[in-house]
Amino acid sequence: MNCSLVGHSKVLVGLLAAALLPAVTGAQTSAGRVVHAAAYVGADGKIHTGGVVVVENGVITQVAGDVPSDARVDAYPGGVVCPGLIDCAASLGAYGNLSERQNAIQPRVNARDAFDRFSRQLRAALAAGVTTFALAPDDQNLVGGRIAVCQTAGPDGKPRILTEAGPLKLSIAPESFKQDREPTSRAGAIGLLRETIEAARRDASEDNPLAAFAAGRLTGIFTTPSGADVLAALRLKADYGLRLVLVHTRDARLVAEQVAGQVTGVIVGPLDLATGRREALAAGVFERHAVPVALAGGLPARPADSLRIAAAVAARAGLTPEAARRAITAVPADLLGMGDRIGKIQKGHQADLVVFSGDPLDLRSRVLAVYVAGQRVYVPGLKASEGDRP
Amino acid sequence: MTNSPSCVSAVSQSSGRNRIPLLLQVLGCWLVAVSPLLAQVRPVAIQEATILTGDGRTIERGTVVFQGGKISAVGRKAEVSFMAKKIQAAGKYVTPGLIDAHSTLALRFAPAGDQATAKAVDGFDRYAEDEIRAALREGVTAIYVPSRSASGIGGLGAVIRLQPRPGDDWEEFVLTDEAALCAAVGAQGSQGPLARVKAAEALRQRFRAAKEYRQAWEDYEEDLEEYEKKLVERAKKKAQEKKAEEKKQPSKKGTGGKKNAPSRDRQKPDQDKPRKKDEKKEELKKPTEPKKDRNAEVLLRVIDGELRLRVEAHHPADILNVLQIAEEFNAALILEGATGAHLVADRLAELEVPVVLSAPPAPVVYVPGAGRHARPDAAAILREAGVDVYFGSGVLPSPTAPPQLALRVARAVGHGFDADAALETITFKAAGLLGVEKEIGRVKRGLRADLVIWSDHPFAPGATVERVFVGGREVYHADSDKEGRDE
Repeated sequence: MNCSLVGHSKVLVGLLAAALLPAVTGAQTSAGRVVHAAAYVGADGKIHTGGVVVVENGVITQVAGDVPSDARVDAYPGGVVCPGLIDCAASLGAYGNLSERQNAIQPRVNARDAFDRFSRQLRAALAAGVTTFALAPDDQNLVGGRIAVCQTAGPDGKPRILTEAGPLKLSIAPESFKQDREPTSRAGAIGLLRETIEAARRDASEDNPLAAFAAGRLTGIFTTPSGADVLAALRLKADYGLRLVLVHTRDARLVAEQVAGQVTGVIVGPLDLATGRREALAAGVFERHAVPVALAGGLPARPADSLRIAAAVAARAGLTPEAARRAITAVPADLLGMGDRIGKIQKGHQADLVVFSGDPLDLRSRVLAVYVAGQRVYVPGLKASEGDRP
Repeated sequence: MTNSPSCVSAVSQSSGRNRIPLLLQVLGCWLVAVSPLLAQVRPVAIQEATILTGDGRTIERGTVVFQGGKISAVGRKAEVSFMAKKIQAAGKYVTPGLIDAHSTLALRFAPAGDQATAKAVDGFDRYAEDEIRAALREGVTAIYVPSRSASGIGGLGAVIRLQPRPGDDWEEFVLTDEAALCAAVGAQGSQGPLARVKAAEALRQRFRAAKEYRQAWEDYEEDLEEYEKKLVERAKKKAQEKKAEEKKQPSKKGTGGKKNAPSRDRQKPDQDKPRKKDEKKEELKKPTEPKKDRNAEVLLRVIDGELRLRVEAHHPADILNVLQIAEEFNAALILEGATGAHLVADRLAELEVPVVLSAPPAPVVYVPGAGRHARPDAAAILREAGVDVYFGSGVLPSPTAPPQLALRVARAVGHGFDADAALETITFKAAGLLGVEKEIGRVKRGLRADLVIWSDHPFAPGATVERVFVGGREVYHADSDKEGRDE
């Protein structure tokens, strides 16, 4: 993983790939495609040697081992294959405001309706290796609505919605308290939330996401900025048997022990280069209490590579490298309920892959190629229209 | 006053009871007092480390020895005296302390706009221990601090070596308090185009005024010289006239008692002049001295090339304006912040203006701010065009925000910046930019012992700073850094 070596080979590989593209696209065989690099990021977050990933019909059929003889091979000498990065707290391509202002309880809002597939932000995110993101309602309402899990590119190169039935978004952030509607205070917010959950528990209808959430069938991603908010959310969980993912950074060291074992996971961040020490330490603290940690990129308010920056910052403040790599791939997939389909390089998973010139955690590494469902949708230096598509 | 006798008796009682422990205490106190001195005298050797010297060399399994605040030996076979304190650093990396070429760390004082004499060193809070520690924790041991005003001329920047607990010798850690004259154009966030024109014009006006000030003094001195010359001429003429008169009227000779009176008259030619009907000369007036202007004098040092000009700008149009002004007044310019500089890279290369890249100011919500032109590959584009690129943390959003200098540079490498040149730009080359390359920036014999021991290569993922020495004194140790961990 010598960096300068990789830097030169990147150009070569890019040129080679560009030259080969027209010749190869027509000749796709059932034997599928092989992404052949020096190493890959395993489901455990570690970097393993033998970066062979075989893809058939958009799905990974083999990891490591020998390269099948009849397959088409994309070679990236020195590269590291990583699962496509996943930002579980983004508003990429959201067209207009993602929050209703008149009522704090909006279970029927679905973020899919705000998805603008023509947004340029999506291409920038793809170029940084982000293949999947949660288009999430913001923190302005107690129940913000349904999250849509979207992709910056589908196998045809066009952005798409992977599922519109993502988790429910909730928040008791100070932004959700307004002067002109309920709730106006934190205590009022929690009271209103209890009332809402209890009402939803009496509702047996299948299509009400709030009812599914209140019954513990649907995950709620819950923004809880302060330690007290976290404890309030945990009380709700204990009282109603909710399935929760918490979005929390600041008071990690105070609440990590209580959070452990109570939630599906925690979303930390966004973290950037100017993040203070206390916030930077949060992810590592949760990891040491065995709480699964995902890192938020916060796209598009931050630069396209902010997921990797967050991982690098957290890794310097004590998050283990394995957990840091998982925090931007496997864990967010799990928290979004997509863990059996995306986020890992393992047999049977959708082949969303990013080839980096080195460790994805190393900010010196560059993106060499991005694949979605086995199709190469991005190579640096090629325009969107020149993508490699069937 | 009433307390003191009882105090004394209490002390004497206790000392009477256990005399030997007291002696030991005295000895202990003496040792405590002397040990820092010993620490300064006793050499320290960091051994078996991978040394990145800062000027592009790597020494595998090398040794650095320092003593009395300076590096005394570097190399694979550097000699280590038997009494040296030895630090085993096998598998670790040693670098020079990183230099943040544009930092507002612990900068408390912002001069009201348009002050050239204000000094950044006076605005730097040397007691901001937490902030200084946050920088040391990331291996930054020296910073360039601008005297920052959001617009116009701010004052004189400083280069400061960081100390978490300033001692009496703090002044020695200020390498220079006149590193450059600081100015800013359009650095206060979003502005309209008219504000841009005004800001540039204001800066130009200041330099123009400084030149006029010099002209005024030159004119004055010329006038004064002429005036004095004329004065002398006139006095001579008068004396000749007088002589001639005396020759005509020798009768006056001998009236010694009255000798003084006419001579007094002669000394005041101005007063006599109007009274004399045959006086053809114009009135001789002493030129008035121009008012002293210390601000203008600082600007003149820039015009004369004695002082560099550093301007913070965050828009390509502002940058072009600043380039024009610098060219017009022959100022040696350094650009800082420099968001959008990549758009005018060729011009910067042509004029050989170095650029210190740092974060743009925080954007105003819903207004496309300076961040609009921010690009992670700006450093690579600039370098490709032939511009000297440096890095700084810039204006951070909160006082507790760390500089993250190593990660900033690593990120630039990930976006195409030359990996081999990366570390140099925040050590040796940065020292050169700041004019302190003979003091800091390299692991080299004779330079200050500002050294960092890293767990891994400074740009590697998960690399952390383990120990930091500034002037040979240990100023950071990860094991005793409670803030830096989660307990």
